[in-house]
Amino acid sequence: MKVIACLDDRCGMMFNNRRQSRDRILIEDVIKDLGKEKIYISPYSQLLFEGTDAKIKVSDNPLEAAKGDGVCFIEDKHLSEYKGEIDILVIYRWNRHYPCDFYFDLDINEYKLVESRDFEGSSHEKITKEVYKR
Amino acid sequence: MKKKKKKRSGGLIRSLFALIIIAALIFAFYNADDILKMLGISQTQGAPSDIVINGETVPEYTNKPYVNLNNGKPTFTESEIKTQSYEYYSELDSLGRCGVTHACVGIDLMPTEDREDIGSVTPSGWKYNGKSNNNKYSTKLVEGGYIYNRCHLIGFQLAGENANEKNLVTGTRYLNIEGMLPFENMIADYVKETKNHVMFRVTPIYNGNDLVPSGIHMEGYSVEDKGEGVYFNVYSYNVQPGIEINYATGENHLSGEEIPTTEAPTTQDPDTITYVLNTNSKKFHKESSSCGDDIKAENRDTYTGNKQNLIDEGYSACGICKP
Repeated sequence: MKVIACLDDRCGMMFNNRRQSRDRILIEDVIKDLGKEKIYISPYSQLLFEGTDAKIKVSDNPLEAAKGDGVCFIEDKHLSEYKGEIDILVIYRWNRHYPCDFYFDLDINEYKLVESRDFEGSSHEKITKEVYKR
Repeated sequence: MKKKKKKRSGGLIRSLFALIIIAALIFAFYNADDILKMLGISQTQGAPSDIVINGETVPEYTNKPYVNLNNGKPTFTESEIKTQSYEYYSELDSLGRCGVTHACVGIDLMPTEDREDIGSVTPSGWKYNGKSNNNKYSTKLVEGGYIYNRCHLIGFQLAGENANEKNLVTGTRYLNIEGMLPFENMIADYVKETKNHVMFRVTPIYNGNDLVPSGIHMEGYSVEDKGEGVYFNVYSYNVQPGIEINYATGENHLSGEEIPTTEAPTTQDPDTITYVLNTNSKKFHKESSSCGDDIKAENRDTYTGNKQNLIDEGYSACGICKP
C-alpha cells in the first residue's frame, strides 16, 4: 500500500478536527502521480479533490480499503495499525509550523528516503515532497 | 517486626546516600540549563494561575504552549462576523497596556511590503524603573537568547502592522514562536489559498495591574465556509520554560534564582538606551556619566535608540565614558 500525507514542521496533521493547511498545486501533484490509478480517501478529504479528474474512492476506513496495492491519501487517520501494510510513504512537508493536536504516528526512520524535491505551492512558498520506501 | 523495620531504615539511609552521590555527580558534570532540561522543568514557576476567560478557568501551564478554551469553539456572535476585511486595535489603557484587537483577515489586508523595524515601541512591562527587562539567557533555554519579543497581537503577516503600539505586547520568545505564530501561519495560508476571510480576535490577558500579560486569548473563524477551514479558541501561555517572570513588572530570572536587586547589572535592550549628544563635536556619551555635563545647552541633545544609528549619522563614541 502507498500512503500519502501532509505534515508540518512538528509532524502534525490536524488541529481541532481540521486539516492544518491545504494547497491546490499539492493536490495536482498527487493526482499527476496517480495516473489512472484510483485513490482512497476519507469523507473529510473529499473537498480537496472536488472538481478534479482523480478517481477517488471515498471510504470511512480508506486504509483498510487500500490494503494491498492501493493508494491512500490520509489526513485524519492514524497509521500505526497498518504499519506492516505500508510499503511506500509519500510525505508532503509544508515547511511551516501550525497548531496541532493530531500527529503522524509512524517512525519515518524505518523507511528509506528515495526521492526528495521542493516546489512552490499555490499558497505555500516551499513544499517538500519526500518519497520513502520500506 | 521490629528487626524488619530497622533493616528497612538502613536501606532507606543507603538509598538517600546513593541519591546524594548521584545528584553531586550530576551537578559536577552539567550546567544549570542542562539540569533544568534533564529534569524536564519546563513549567515556569510564577505563571499566574486562576485566570478566568468567559467564565472558564484556564488550566495551569503544563508544558504545552496553548490550550483549548470552550472546547475549541470560538465565540463570535453573528453580528461580529463580517465578510469584508477590517482591523481594530483598542486604545492603550492607563497603564499603557494593549487591549482586545480583532480583524476580518482577507487577502486585501495582508502586507505587500517587507516588515519594518518595530524597535521604537516599548510595550508595557518591556522596561521597569528605567531598565530593560529583556534579559539575555543561554540559547539552550531561550531561542535567540533574549527572553522577550515585541509580540504582534494581529500578526504582521495578516495585517501588515509594523510599529503600532496598540498591537504590540511584551511576550516571551516561547509565546511568540510556539504559542502565536502557528495560528497566524494557519490563518495566513488559509486566506492565501482560498481567498476567504477569517475572523481573528486576539486579547492579551492581564492579572489585575500586571504590566505583562499572563497569556493571549485567540479565536479564529473562517467566514465563507462557516468555520470548516479555520476554527479555534485557545489560550497561549506567556511563559518561558526555565525562567520565572514577575508579571507585575516584567522582571525575570532563571527559575530557582533569587530576583536580582535593582543594582544588579542587567542586559539592556540596545534599542532602549539613552545617550547624551554633543551636536557640535558629534560625540555621544553615556546618560549616566558626567562627560556630557559641560555641553552647552544649544549643543546638547539626547537620543534613545540603537547607537549604531548615531554612528551612521556621523557621531562617535566618547573615549572616556565609552558608551
